Amino acid sequence: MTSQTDGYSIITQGLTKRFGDLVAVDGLDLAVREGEFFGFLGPNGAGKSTTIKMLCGLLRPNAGRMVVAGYDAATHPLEVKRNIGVLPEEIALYERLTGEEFLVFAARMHGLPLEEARRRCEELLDLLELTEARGKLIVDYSMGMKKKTAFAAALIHRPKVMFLDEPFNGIDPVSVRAIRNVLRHLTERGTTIFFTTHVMEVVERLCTRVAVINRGKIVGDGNLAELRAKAEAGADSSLEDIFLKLVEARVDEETLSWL
Amino acid sequence: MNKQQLAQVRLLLWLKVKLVWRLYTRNTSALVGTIIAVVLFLPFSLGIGVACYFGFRLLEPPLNVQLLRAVLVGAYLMWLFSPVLGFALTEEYDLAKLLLYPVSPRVMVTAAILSSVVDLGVILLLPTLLAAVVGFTRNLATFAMTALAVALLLFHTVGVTEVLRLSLWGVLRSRRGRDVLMILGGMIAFGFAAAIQILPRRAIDVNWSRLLSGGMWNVLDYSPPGFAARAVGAATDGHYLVGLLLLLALAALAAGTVWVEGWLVHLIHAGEVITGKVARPAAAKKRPVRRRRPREAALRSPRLSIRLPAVVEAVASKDAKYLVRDPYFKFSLMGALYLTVIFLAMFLWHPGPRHGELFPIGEWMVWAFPLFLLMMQAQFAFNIFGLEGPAVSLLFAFPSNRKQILIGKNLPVFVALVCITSVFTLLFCVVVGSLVVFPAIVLWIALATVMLISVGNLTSMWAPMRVVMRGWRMQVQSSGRSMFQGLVSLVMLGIAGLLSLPVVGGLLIPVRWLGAWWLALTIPLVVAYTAACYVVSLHLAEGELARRDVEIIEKLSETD
Repeated sequence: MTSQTDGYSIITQGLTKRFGDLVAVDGLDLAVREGEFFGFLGPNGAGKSTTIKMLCGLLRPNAGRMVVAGYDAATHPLEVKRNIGVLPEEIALYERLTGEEFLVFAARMHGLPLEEARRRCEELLDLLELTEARGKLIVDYSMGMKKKTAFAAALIHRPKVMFLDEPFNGIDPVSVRAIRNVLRHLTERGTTIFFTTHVMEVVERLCTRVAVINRGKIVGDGNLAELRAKAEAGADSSLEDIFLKLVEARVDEETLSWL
Repeated sequence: MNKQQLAQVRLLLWLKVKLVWRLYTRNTSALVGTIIAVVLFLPFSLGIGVACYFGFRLLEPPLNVQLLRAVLVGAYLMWLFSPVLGFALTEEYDLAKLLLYPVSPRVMVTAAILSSVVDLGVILLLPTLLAAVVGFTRNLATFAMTALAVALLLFHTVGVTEVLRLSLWGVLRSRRGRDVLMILGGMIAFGFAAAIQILPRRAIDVNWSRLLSGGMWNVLDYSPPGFAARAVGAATDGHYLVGLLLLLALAALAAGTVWVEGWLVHLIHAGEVITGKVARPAAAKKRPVRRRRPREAALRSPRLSIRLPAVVEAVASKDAKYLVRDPYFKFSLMGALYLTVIFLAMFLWHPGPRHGELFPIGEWMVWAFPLFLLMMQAQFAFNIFGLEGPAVSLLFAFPSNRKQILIGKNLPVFVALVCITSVFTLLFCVVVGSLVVFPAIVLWIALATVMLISVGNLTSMWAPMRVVMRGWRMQVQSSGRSMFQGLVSLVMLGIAGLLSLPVVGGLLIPVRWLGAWWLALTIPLVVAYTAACYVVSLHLAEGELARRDVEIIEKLSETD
């Protein structure tokens, strides 16, 4: 790739996605550096998941350019997939496999030798406290266990970029702590994390940079101080306050008449 | 294909075998359904295979090759039409789930086609294909060429079926597309039924021998099954070079099919749709909310004229909307129309004597006709939670009286079935000239519907099935499960028929033999009998629902 992409894991230029008359993502320009823990925030229907799907090659944009992990996603989709790990919003697992079988399958699909796939699978099951359930079919897992399995599958090939859509939803605090540690460890080693959540506290604690999307457009991008300045919020305002200002949310006192 | 891609194909074959195996080991109804399908269809499949073998062996050339061509064309067309009818003869794993991995669409497609050998549709085709290989083998060369021709054709056929299914993806998912297919499918069915009635009765003079010996059939030589048959024929005649050239053409077609299917997979899944749901986020437009005043709202909200308990009214009104919006309802209407036309055609062809109060055939038909219509629509009554899908957990989460929920579900089904059946029966009675018995028939329809619903309530508890429309048929997640469901429905339909005998007796015997005034005595009796059956069924179903609600939720939330 060109020198323009050096040092960046994700670059989008004029990325646009339309569904009929609705413009879900409207000329998105993003640049995420290698090793960055990047938070992608926005209200429901703002275009977060659509953006992630396009970056992962699961949805074709109507216009614009995307470079992910050094590869143009339009011309080298398989190279992009080889270098990314995805935890999608709607978890897609082969539920009639056991957790262990599925993780080995995912690793082998990424070309890992069988022995290495098994070794990594062991470690991931242990880390995510799935060892006891390793022989159970995924269909019998709880939602949290399924999410942890999907996370493990996204991680097992050690991707350069990870896309995590609401990764901590439905996961117990012990596993959340373990996953956070893994993610921190990954970013220290140069892996880029691109993740969405509605939990502002998690974003404040983990992210080095944040972008806020609203109605398909970026309305704020930077670290907490930069966002505060952009939103013209007070010095002690929280990320939640900044977010509400940026998305022009209605916070009036109106309530339901029958309450 | 490089080494990595071959490894991925092997891995996907392993995945398919594992998923199919687990489907049967984990799901008893799927296993039972598949065993029933094998028991029912395998003898036919083996019979066709054996008959073909003797045909290939005993017929003189070129007749044996023409037979092979006809058999292969028949199988090919059957497979080609299956996606249009909504059938999936192969049960592939969800390709959308594979899009997260660095696997090319061609690898996915190749693995899906190769792995279809464990699907029932392919297994049932194998005896015929095997008969071709054994029947045309004269030496090692003919064996190799015949086996290759059959294998390439099978590969191409499975592939092209998937191409059609993928091409129709959008059409089958759109309401308008489904409506068009319903009309189209119904017209084909109607045309077939009309042909069955007309051709054997020599209504149209067809010179069959001239038709079958016509040169137009040679056009089929240029179709994929024609290539395969000609390659086999050339090999048995010793023209190996011609045979090889035809095999090359077939191989090119098979490769082309993989290419097109791979392109379609990329276009459909990676382009617009993922995990089977249209990825269309809701518009985040702010619209001013206009609050209706209570009086205005009360005037506009749909309300049943009869005062019903709130739960019954809520469930009935929800289910009525579901029914009207469900494509299966439209399908049912179309089916009723076609059945009426077919029955009328049968009657008009054999009208019987034109004198007398009622025509002999028409007299019986007016009583039998509504039964056929009701049987066609029995699925509405036999699977009352089917349209709910996973949302049934929400329905059961409400602390509502279970009996009221059941009544609420039964009401719209009763109204829909009685209305549809009565309207078409009226049409039939007018043409047949039996309008005089129509009021009694309407009562018969209403009581038979209540009986169907009574039995259906219990069937819905014991064999719930998630309703998914595929083309113009209803389908559960796997063919095995739908086979099991079909068997249960058939048994319960028989029980409903037996329970309805006193009802039809109570109405038909006075009308036909005793005299209409007897109806004054029999009608209250049959109404009381039917009402008692419904009350008993409601009581039993309520108990079953309390016991089996968790199992019902599980069954309706299952995905393969």
